[in-house]
Amino acid sequence: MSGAADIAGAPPATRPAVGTAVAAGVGRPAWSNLLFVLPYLVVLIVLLIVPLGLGIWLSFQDYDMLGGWNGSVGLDNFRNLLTDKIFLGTIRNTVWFVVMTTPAFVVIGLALALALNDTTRKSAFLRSVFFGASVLSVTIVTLIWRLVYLPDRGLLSDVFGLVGLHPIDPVVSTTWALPAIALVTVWWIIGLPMTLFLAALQQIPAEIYEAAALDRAGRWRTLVFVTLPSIRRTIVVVAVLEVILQFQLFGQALLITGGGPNNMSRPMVQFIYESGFRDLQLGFASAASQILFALMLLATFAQMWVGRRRDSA
Amino acid sequence: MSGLGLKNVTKRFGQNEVVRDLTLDVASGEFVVFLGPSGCGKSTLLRMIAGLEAVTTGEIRLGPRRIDDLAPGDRGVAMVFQHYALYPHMTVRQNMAFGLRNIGLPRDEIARKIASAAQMLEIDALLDRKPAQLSGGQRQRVAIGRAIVKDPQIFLFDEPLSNLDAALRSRTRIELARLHQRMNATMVFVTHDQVEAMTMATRIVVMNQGRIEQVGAPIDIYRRPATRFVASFIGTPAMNFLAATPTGETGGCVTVRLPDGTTVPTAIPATKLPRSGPFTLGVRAEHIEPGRGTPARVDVVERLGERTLIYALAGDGSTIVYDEPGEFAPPIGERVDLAIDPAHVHLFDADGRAYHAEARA
Repeated sequence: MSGAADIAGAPPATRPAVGTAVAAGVGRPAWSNLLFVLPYLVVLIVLLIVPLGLGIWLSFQDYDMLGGWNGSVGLDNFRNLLTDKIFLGTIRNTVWFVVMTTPAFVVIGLALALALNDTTRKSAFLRSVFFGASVLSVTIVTLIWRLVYLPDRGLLSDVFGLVGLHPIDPVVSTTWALPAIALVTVWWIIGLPMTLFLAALQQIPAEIYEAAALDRAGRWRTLVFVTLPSIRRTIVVVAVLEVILQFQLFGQALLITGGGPNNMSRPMVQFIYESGFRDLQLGFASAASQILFALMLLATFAQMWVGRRRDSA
Repeated sequence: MSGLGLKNVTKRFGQNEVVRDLTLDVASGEFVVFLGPSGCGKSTLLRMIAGLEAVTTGEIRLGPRRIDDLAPGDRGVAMVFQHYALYPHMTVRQNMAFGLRNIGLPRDEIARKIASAAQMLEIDALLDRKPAQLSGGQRQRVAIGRAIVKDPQIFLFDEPLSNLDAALRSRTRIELARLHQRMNATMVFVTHDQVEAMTMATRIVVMNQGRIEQVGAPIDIYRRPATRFVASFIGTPAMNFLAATPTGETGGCVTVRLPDGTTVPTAIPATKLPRSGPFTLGVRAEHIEPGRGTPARVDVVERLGERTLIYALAGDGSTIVYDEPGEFAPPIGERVDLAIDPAHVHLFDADGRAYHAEARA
């Protein structure tokens, strides 16, 4: 085919370096440009960077809200935490909670998005219903689910009765308390991952699916080889977002089980809250916060690393 | 390769009928182009053949098989999309292999087919790249390669050249024509670009408002348009249209009078023309030249290099375009008298139906 080599060899258009022309036009940096980002920068520094620094500093201090500052204690707060069985239990609970909820958010959110990704009125209504729960406050949500979990009269008890099972009271069960909170959480905020997945699915050009149909790809192969790879970045985003959010479990646990029974559903944030604002030990609570922060960073980096490896594969 | 048969095919979206009772046969090995303006139903028709749109009524056959009730992948068709529709996360090789893997073809057979198509299209060096790393022309080649490896009974092209720049489009046109000759494949190509249709098609199907206006060889459609719509749609510049009133006959052929009173003889047999009704005279720019005829004043000049188009205003305000070879053009505002070649005059009745001079043997 003549001329084919010209076409085949033609390189894709390269993009000029962004900002080069602008910088050349301006000639020198104008410090007044900083004014555009200053409002954000001030808020970031005052509300994020300073508290973060203060928190790190506090974690090495003996700081009691009543007794005041009693000087630096080095790593004592951390040492005490890592030998505190209740705190170690909260780490186990929190990590277990994240492990239960994050995959559920990804899988159920994606399944809902796939099922409701069309223009029918039924889907529009159901999308609103699933997202609707997200706007409820944690108090309302936990109130609803306390009713569901009520022994003898709750919905869960009725359902168990219907299928001939002995009813359980998850709120007082050392085995089921945390899964019960996980179920509430997934029910409450499944709307966000569903919406993110819907947005991603709607970015996939319809032509790709038509090409897959002509390529004789069935529904399963289309999902695995076309849809999932096309929304891989959103899957990573949802997973990272949910890890960050679910490590901060607090309200649901406090209001449904109060951390019990026997601390089996006590999350790290509740421990931090109780150490800081009930026991007034700010240094100790700050050290626990730093450990939570480190865990969240670790989990997030791990997920992003896995996501990037898959991207480059 | 198989021939394609469309019988009384209709497509409705709600109350909107976009393809109306369309019947067409495409012979095996033909390169047929569906040509028409946006919204004429040509792409919908192609998508119905591919199985991407359901047929409302009628039937579609490919060879002896009725295919309109089959899934797209079971029809034996391959399609090249307007935006290529390559899988962005797969390499070129994986893109080409996907359809073959789905039907469980052995790996060595897939590799052989890909190697053969890649060699034909000269994309061997690109097989391990992803679509984002390819230029528009390269992506287009890959899309064609993905169609070729499937050994389809018919190739469908949905405006695949519309995203390419002018130079690349021109080259790709020639390559597609060569590909058709080499593979002797049945191809259906959709476009709104008459140059693509004229240069590649063995037959053109001109469509308008969901109906076929005319089917024929490119040069027949250019020389003997069946309707005023075809006459206006085919050819650049568009055909000149002037109101005309039959005044009599000369040697058995109709003579007409233009609005400015000029009489124009034609080569159209008077017996073919309806007795009454308003008529429109149609004549292409290349069949008008300065001489004794309609007086006009030069308004705009377009120099195209090999020829020059001159737009002149006739006495009744209508524009007549004619061309001069080379770069010669009269000054703007100069009066010119324009002679119309009687042998190439067309007349259109009130319904737009065309009447031509007798075809030469």
